[in-house]
Amino acid sequence: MAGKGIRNLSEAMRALSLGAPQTCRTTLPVRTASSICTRSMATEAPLPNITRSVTDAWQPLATVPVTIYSFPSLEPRSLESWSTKHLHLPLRRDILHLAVIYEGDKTRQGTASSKTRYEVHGSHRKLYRQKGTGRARRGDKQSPLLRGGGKSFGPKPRDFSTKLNRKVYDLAWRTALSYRYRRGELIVTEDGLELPLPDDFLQLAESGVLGTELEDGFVRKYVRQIMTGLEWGKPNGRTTFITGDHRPNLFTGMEVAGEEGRALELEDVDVKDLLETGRIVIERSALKEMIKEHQSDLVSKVMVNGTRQKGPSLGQVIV
Amino acid sequence: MRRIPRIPSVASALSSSSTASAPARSAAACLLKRDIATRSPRTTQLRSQTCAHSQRRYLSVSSRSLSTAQQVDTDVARVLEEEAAVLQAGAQIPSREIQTDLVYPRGVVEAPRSTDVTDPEYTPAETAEGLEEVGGLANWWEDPEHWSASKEYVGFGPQEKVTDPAVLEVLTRRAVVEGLIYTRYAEKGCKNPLREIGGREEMERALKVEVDVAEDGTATLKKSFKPVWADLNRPTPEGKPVTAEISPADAQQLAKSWDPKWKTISLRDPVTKFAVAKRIQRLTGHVVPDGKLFGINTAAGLVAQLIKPPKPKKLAEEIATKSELVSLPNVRVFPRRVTPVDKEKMVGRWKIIVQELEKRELPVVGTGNYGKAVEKKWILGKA
Repeated sequence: MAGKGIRNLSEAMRALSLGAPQTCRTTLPVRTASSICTRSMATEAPLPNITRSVTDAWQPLATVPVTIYSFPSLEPRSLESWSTKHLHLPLRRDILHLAVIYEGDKTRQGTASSKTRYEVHGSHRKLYRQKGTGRARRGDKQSPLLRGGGKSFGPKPRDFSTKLNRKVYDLAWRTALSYRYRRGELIVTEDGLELPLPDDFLQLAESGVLGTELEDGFVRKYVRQIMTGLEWGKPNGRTTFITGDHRPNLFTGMEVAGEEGRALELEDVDVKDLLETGRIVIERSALKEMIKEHQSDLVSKVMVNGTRQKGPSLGQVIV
Repeated sequence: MRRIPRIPSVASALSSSSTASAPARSAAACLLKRDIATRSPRTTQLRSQTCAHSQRRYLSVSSRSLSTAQQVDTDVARVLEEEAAVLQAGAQIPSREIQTDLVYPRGVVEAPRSTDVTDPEYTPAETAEGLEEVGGLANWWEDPEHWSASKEYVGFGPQEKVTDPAVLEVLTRRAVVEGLIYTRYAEKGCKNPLREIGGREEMERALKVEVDVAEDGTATLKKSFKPVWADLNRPTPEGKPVTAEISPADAQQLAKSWDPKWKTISLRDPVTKFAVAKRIQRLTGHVVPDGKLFGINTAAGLVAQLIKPPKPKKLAEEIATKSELVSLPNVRVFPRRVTPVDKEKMVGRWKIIVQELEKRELPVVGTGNYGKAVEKKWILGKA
């Protein structure tokens, strides 16, 4: 904002109330005198009404609703309530970053390899005598200084994987899901998520009259239509489908129409996948399994007084 | 990528033994028989070659059961014998028609390879000029004549989202009323839960239902809501669903006639909220995501959410629509970077530059065949 500065010394003195002796009462209207110092409030967000009485207890949100849709019509079929500790965690970019880096490190192949001077094939005979040739002294042909020689400090196969505490990694999974949920980019579908290809096409494909090119062309267009209708396609940032196991038509369809999105089996998913593409479409059982596998910070294996911490329930059906 | 193997070729089906049940076996044999009967002698040969190597990539539930049932030994052998007899006789048997409204190329004939041609006068062409164009099925389905309307995507909501604020308000009221009615009767079970749109009559009936709203937002339905429940329960008629459309002017008038207190109706009850959201999706095409929905607790909040225009994707779009920058005389907003070419165009010099460059046979944009300036690497200290 312009005009925040102080124009001259006298104004500065006045602002500090160091000028001529004035009573408090007279110094107060200084604000109006230096109106250029006041800031337009246009950019300031209104404060939420956060004041609460001591008498009414603070009851944080415990559950959030999750609508279960059918695919591809996207008809809401039922409603479930999930714990906020599963699907409404605060965004922690640092934890997501840790998880993505951890996964990246773990996935590195680490197979780069080069030969040292001791591994390069050939004779280790001295190239020529030490003195008297007028040339630089040389050892064997494998010297790193020579072309075709070994590599001094070259790469060797190694494991790049780093460590991350299990509880932090699990929190990252649920943070990623929560981030998607809050942005409206987590769509949970009924079990058995599959691409419903039309019957007549399947019969044609079965009888083999179309051939691969026509079959794939059909599926590409069919998928594109669905994705455009749902606003899930390429212009809307693609879509990741996550299913419990391999679904032939969905997986082949998404492979054929890869520009519209991709399909992953639950076991192939990691945190980075959850953060990529415009939205995540996951079937209910896969979501349940995913959260069940990644709640080590909420559940405990240790029995205390005959009971153990089991964590919040995994989705309760409301409607 | 793992692939599902295509139906095993007849040869492999012969070799594999199976424990398929008797009815499945006979059905499979019957189907296979028909399948074989459709082929003309020439295509049979071709297909048996291609089938063995290619893979089946798309599956249906019925076809899956078929493929397992097809691994039948004795029946297949019998069918094969019959096929051989048919081929020898050269009989023309009407092909089995698959009921489809798709148009696909039929009677594809493969040209022999140049090495297989025995005609001594045959000389392979050396250029493509003057040759007949064949193949090119990549864009086959892009032709609307090949595609069919039955393959179009049909979602739960209307194809076009409703965007007019007044219409949205009216439809929200309808959805809220129907949601409240649904909640009231939900325990009894709904035959066709919240799918029915109905026509003009149904809409008017729903909008006429009066609602009393208490201070805390609790809504009490007044009489005449039972017919609305009946409307909601009616099964969807065959064919295209009836849609009730209301003009923005009518909607505005209607919205004004209501007591604005209806907007304070509480939507805290999750069942009501679910029903209302589902109705909203069916009537307007707006999908209110869960993350937004749980923060919406009144009808007014829902209306506000629906009316809110989608966030512009580009900063330039946002500035162009609502910023005061546009009205300033010394500010201009461009949707992309202003390039040197754009600047020349603005002052009307670009055409002349192009003419002059062309006259000298110099590239108009870029460096053409000349490559980068040789001196560049000296200046940058790279050489």
